Amino acid sequence: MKTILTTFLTLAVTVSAFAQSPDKALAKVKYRFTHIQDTTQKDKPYTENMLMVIGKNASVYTSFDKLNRDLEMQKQIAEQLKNQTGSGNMSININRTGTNRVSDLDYFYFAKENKFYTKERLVTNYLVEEDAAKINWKITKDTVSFSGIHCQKATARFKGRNWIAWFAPELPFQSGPWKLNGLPGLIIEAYDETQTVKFQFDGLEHITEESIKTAAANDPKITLPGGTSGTVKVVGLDVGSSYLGAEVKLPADAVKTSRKELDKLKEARDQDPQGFMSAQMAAQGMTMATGTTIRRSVSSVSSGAKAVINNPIELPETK
Amino acid sequence: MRALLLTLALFLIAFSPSFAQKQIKGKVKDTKGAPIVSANVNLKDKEGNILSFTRTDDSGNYTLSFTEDVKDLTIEATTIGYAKKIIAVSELNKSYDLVLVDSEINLKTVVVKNRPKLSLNGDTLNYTTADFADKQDRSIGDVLKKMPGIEVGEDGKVSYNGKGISALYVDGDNILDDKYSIGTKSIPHLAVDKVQVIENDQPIKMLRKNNMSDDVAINLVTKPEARLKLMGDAKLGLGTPDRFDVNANGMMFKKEIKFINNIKGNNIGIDPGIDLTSFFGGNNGNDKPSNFLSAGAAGVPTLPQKRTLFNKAGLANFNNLFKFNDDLQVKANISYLYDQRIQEYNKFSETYLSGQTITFNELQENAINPQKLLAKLNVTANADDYYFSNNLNTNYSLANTASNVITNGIGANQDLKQQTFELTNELSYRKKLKSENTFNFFSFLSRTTQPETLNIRPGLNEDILNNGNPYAGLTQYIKLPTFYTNNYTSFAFVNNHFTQTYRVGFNIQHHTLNSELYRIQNNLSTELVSPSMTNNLEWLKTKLYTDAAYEYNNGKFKANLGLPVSYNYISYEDQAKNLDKSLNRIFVNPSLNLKYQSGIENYVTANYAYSNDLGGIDDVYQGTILKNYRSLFANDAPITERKSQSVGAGFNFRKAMQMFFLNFNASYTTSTVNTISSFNLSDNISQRVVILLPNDMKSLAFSTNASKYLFALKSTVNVGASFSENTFEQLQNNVLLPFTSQTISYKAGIESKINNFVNWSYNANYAISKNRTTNANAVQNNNQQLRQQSSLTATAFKSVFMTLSAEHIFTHQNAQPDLSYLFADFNVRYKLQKLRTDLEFGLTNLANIKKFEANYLSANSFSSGTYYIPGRVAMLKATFAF
Repeated sequence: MKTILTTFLTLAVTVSAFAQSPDKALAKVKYRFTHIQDTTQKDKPYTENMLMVIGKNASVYTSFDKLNRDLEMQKQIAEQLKNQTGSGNMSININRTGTNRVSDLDYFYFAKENKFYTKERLVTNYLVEEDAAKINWKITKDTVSFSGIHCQKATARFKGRNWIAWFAPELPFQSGPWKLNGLPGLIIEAYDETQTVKFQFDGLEHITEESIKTAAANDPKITLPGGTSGTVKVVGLDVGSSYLGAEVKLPADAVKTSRKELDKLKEARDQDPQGFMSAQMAAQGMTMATGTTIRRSVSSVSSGAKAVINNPIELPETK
Repeated sequence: MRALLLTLALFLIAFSPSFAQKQIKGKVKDTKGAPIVSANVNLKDKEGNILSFTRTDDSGNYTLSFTEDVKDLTIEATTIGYAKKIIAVSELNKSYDLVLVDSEINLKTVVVKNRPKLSLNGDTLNYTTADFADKQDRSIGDVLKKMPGIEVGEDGKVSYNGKGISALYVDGDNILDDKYSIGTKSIPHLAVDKVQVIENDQPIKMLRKNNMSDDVAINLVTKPEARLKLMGDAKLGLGTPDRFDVNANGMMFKKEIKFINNIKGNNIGIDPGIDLTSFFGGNNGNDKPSNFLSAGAAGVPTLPQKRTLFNKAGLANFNNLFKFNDDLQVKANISYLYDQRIQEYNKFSETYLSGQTITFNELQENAINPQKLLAKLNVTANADDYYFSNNLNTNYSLANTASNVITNGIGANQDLKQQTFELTNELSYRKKLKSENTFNFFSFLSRTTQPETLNIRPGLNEDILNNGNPYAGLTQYIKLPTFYTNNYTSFAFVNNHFTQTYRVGFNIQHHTLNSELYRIQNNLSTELVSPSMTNNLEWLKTKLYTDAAYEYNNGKFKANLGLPVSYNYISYEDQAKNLDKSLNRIFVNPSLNLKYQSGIENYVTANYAYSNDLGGIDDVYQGTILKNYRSLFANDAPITERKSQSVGAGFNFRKAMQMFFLNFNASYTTSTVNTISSFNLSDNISQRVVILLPNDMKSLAFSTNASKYLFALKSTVNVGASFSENTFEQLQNNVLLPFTSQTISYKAGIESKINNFVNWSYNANYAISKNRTTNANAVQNNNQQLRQQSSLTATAFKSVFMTLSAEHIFTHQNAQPDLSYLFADFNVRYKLQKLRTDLEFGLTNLANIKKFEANYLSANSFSSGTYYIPGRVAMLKATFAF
């Protein structure tokens, strides 16, 4: 069974499990991320829809576009798997709709523990833990309403930029998009002084018991030949319950590592993709069939014609 | 030793800020006494600003550090799943524990329909221009109209929540002063990042600390790229029949130099003189008649001017401001207007008096040619401890009006020439003394001449003016050279919330009125009509005043009591008429203004004033003046004295975050005047004489306006209602009639973004006016007018904008046929992005209406006018922006 699946695609089927210390997910906040990466092309900003799931204490910030794309892919795979159930030779074709880049980094923030995790996926999920940066916010008197949410302005110098954030004192969450957090209210909108990096509010949704159930019901289910039912998990795809579930938690399958080691790993990937892939899959208990060639996944950060980035989000601090 | 000193120094450096640092500690617990971890704890001042914030630790403890030295602090603890708890801080070294009560997590799902548009900072409200602008908008004026709370009148006057603005700043600099409409018309909205409404605007830096200002100003914050270089546009338009429209703007908004320069000309009915409308500013107490003579009795049609005007006009308008440093600036505003207008109308009028009806019929063709040259030079030094401002103003205007008149079948030519030359200087110097008290010296000087000449050929009204014999013509000459000065010095004693200002000053007004009415006989000999139709009147009015003003402002409550005492002396003399009179009066004109901030975003105002006023030369000259071909004016009364009392109240409310604005105002004025204008009407002439007869006037007014942005509909809506009632007396043909006129009007409007490519605007005004006299047989009339304007703009292919607009005017009066006019215009614009050029084709007055009728019925008169207006016009325009 395992062999069949791994022969054609690096698929793994797991049955969903519960995390140990869940922080109940209370709301989903959507942001529209706009970044002028190349200041010589101000009319062509990079844009992406982002999602933040917030609980009382924890939050996870990820790409909504990536999530949707992966969900779509998962659906395709599930569909094809279903149609080919029983056939000895399964073949899966995936049509990626849209060639838009998506960011591969997810950020987890735990206010109580003051911990910040960056999750980066290099086939396996790696987690880099760091202390949450203490941002020295200055709250000003300016107020504004974003679609009826009363917000107050705060400014801070952070990672080489002067940030302006609008937070909602009525929503006592301490989270915000990207690495911005630590205000006495949810950050609804943030942008830097030059307006080249912007996180614009795109909606807030209360997560109710029902909405979790509906989301779970929509997870494509397949009946495996053994009669057991499960959800499809594709290596390289993070979907479903980890972001749309009832809890905000660190992914259970992620490997904790340090920034240094992760950078080493990335270097290895760039030098020997094939060897890297086998090693990574081996780490997940899968083997690659002989003759399989791995082309670099579309979603790799460093893939394709590299976009010119002369204006990264994090700038060296200039004194 | 050195090390010790260094350590000590370091210790001091490290320690000194903590002297000012204060701390509040405490614990956040739930109702069972268990600590709540990671709860938000905020320290707030009485305005609700967060001074400091922190989070509770693992044991629920918190420590708030702050440096501000303020009272009325509150601590607020919030966390999800508990209700917010607020407690007041009484003393700093106490521990404050907060107990939070469980509450249901009630997060509302928010769907983003549109971007926020408004932000608030103290007295400043920020509107993000881009949030209100649509693709087809060009100037900032187009966008201002759509901002809730802001109103732009047809004349370009900008108001915020019912109050006219006191300045239109560009990046804090006042380039245009009182004539700001050129700014709203020419500054492109794309150059403006934010529109700021500044309440309680105080342009004088040294007064900002104890600011008593109630003025509202608008500041346009330009985008950084708009501050770099010259901006502007040039427009050329040609049309049929024989129409042109040209316009060129040049603007610069650098820090040290700012200008808005504009040259325009057209013959499509747009009066460029509107750009020179002054929206505020008085005459410094120099009350004088503006003009004695006029062209005729007819008014202008009650239609927007651009639909009625036959013109050929041009305007050059230069406004330049140079800043030497933050405190010193020089400004020059120079403009020249040339205008030619043609009017054609006929009017039928009946006045019903007891026992007789006065009827007249007139047909008039006017060619009017006004010219104006205005130059103002201003130097302002505005520092933290002193203020100096000097304005040198020169105005010259010349207006010629040539008319062909047929009145009751008798034809005549009338030629009116009016010139005004005015030179004024205004100087103000303020100094802040060490004691925080301020000193102010003010001086205003003015010299004016305003000669007027009226020629009528042939002579009219021979019964009155030439013993019943036909004659060749009449010439009326008038001169009124005037000198005026007003000077004062004041001291203000500032004591925390309380300011006392004492002022001493004087003003002098000196006129010489010369008028002569000549008649030209058929043999071309010229002679005075009568010695009684001349004036040679010397007038001197002086006022010595002292004034005590008490202002109290504690932020929430503001009171202002004024107690001016003045000694007034007037003398006037006309030897030929044996007129030599003088008058002494001492007046106390107290006033009281109260303002109470009933909430952060709303306030109530109330005011009371009692005043005594003395009339001007207009009411005392005795020699008759021929005002126009059918009016004779004279006086037979002492100086007009008016006593009036007025009370007013207002309520101003806003919820900026919900973008809701509301205001309500009421006022009542009653006055007693010792003289009245007595009109003597006959079919061919009307004569006015001011005579001594005490009479009363009363006026009552209410108005309310509201404006709201509807997020769901992406629309700004506004509604308003007003009521006014005036009662006064009129003396006509020796019958004194009490009159009451009442007007109720309602308005409603919407500016709506239906979707990304369709915008719709609609405005309606409905006015009901009633006039009645208590005279038994008088008609009580009722005049209703509904005016609706609507326009629909559609965008196609991103660069084509089409606008269809319509205006409907409906008038209903009792016993009169209803009048209904529908004007429609169509306009299409194509934007050539690469060439930065707009091509525009427009058709105005699609229905080709060439005649406009208006009937007007008042309590005892009826008039009907027919005006000729321009028909359909087609225009092709190209605008290039640079």
